[in-house]
Amino acid sequence: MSTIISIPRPDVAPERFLPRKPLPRANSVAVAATLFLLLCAAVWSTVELRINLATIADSISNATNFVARMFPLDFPPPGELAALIFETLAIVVLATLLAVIISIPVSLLAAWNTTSGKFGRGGARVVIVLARAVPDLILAIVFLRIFGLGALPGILAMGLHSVGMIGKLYADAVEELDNGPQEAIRAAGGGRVQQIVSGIVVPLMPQIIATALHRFDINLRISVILGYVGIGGIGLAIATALRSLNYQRGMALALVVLLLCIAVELVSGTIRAALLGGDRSRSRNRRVSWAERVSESWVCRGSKGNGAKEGFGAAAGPVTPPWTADRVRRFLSVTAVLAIVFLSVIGAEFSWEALGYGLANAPATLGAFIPPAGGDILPVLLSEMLVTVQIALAATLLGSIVAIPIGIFAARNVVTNRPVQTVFRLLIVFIRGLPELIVAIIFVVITGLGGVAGALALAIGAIGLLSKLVADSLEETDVRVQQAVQAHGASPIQVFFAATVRQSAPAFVAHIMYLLDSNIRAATLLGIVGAGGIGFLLLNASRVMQFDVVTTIVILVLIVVLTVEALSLWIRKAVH
Amino acid sequence: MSTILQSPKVQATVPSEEQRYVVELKNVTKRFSPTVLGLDGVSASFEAGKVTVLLGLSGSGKSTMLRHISGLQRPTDGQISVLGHRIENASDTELRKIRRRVGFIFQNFHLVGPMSVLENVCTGKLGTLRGPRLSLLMYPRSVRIEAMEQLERVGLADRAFQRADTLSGGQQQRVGIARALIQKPEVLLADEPVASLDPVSSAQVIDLIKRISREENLTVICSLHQVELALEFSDRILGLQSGRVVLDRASTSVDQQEALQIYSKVATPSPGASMTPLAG
Repeated sequence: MSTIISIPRPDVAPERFLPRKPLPRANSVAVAATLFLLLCAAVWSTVELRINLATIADSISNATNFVARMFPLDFPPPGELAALIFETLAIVVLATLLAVIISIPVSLLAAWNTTSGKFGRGGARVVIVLARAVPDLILAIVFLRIFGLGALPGILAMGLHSVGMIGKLYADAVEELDNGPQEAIRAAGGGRVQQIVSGIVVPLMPQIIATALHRFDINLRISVILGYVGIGGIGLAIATALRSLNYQRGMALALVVLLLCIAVELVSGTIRAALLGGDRSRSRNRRVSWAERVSESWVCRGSKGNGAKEGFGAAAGPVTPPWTADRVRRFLSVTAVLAIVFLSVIGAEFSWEALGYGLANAPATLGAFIPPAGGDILPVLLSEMLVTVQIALAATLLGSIVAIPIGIFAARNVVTNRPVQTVFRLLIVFIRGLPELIVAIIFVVITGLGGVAGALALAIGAIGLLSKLVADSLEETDVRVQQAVQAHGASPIQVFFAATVRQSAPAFVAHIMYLLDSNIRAATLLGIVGAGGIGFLLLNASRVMQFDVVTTIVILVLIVVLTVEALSLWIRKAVH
Repeated sequence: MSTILQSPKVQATVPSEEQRYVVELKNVTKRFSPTVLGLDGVSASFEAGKVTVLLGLSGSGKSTMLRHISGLQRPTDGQISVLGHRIENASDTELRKIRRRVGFIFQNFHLVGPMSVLENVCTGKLGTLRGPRLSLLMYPRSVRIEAMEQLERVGLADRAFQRADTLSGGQQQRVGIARALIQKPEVLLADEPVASLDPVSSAQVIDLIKRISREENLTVICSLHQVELALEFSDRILGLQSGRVVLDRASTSVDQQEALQIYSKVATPSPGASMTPLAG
């Protein structure tokens, strides 16, 4: 009733019915203000860290000096090198496997359509967020303390930290899945576990494997960082060489890591593309690559149509899949995976004894980590934490300035010149292939210890990540809008700003926030090679066994990382 | 009540009147939210070996009714008994035992796309197997043979090792039927089994359900939208409107005009049922 009364009569005040420009919502204003503040903070950080042309010019002599001392590269003997690579790969394989094994139940609990209840879901979500927020380096320090030197601390550290990413991606995949098959099995009297295995795990197998491969790439890079705190493999060898200023050996090993990363990325990228890009159409009269075959045979038991036989007597007919080429490939792939895991267990010299001993003494060992250190060390830690944040902000700013043009030139629908676009795409792939740590080491040598090296290294990493995201979101824009603007007589530049940028601007902001989020995480670690920030203090504290300081650092890092994550989530949600 | 559910001996002492009806609903009400009623005091009994078709607009409560009979949803109020067991408050374990004897066919087939056809049929047998199965070869050979026999029956034995999502809609629904049949069900529930299919496939699927229900003397409860098909296919028509039963008679005594009235927006007064406009 009241609504009827409150409507003013048109003849009294007609001008009140003219549409007014709506006031911006409070949330949008807050987001815009936050973005502006972040931009100011990033500029201030860049100035404060003294990242400018003068600093870079000063470093040129260092750079030439460094290059001179780097050559000739000194590779270890082939046998030793192979052993190092084998050890690294073994640790990374087992860590990723551990992460997958933990992530599957955790993600099933975290997804709304498979969870056991509110508490299970909340608990699983907390596990995922915490696993992602605690840097693997800190986990490695803790586990090294508990289990002693060896592969085990590395496997556990990377394995548990990876649950943060793998668990999240698995949970998202489970939530996106059609729950019809699960319900059909339920209607046939199947139990919960049966419903989940047949209705969810089996159809998701391609994503499960693809995500694991993706994480394998990331863990390979991380394993190098973990070498600095004593986890075996190539990382440890690089750390040892550089500590004794043996650049010829260190850089030779860094080159090996670079090649290894690129090789692994190529193989896993091919398999992943085949696993995820697959749909039914690919089976029809099209040449399918080896990787595609492998991938589809993971889930399909047997042939795709060519196994059809006429006049198949049911009772007499075979009830095991025929040994078609697909089944043979699947069999070989499974065998290969099992062999790799077996070799990894041998290569990592996995010791149950160490595990048991460590676990038995864990409470006593962990006692050294509490209570967190406070008092006089806190101001020092806080100021280094500030430097860490500055590094992340400056790296995000510098990275964005370079990455956005690169991304634009790599977008197919912006640059019509095919070769130019291809060159920029390749450039992105190359930059993405560079392990951040290696870049950081090089910058530390060139610009000296401190935040400049860290910020520049992260900026390079940011270019790799952001330019790809920018190019992808430009290519996703609706071309009809561009055509419409063009049809009105706009020039290519006008089309670009009026139609293309306008469409992808929210995505740009979201990507930059994501970049800031991941830079904060990375910035806490790069200090261990002397690239500035809290990582340096972390490494020192663990060396001199001030484990209470390690705990304080963990708390500080958690606060900052979770704050930035929440901020980034909020802004990404608001702009979409 | 739980003793009745678990002991087959006790089941035999159930009065014959109860035995006649394999499925019975008494005043079943389902309230999805304070304003949305799924079922509004539905009472209906289903005789053994008879084919009943549920007719009604989308949202009239057909699916909700079938899902209640399978125990996939629980009523807010009322009693449901299936094969002599009260299920409205049954535990999950008790429900599983009953569901083994009740087959369910879905509108969208609900097959696991990347899984082979044969394994999809085998999943119908999970209710009687212990533990999960990750691949076809983890099912007992006897189950695989049974699955192959059911595929033969629906005419898809030659597709056994193909991915389920490479089949056409009609073929997928036949796999869905094979998956229900491997349960050796006593009751077959079908929720608009042909709504996603073209006319030719629809006819094939309906013929198949008809043939099998006759061969196995199955009690079939099937929701459909095609009035003509429904009249020709069923022994009995049950019309639903806004969660209430508005028509319940032998198909032979229902003419097409009467059946079509179930679909009219305006409620048709029918003896004994006072109608209200669609709630929610």
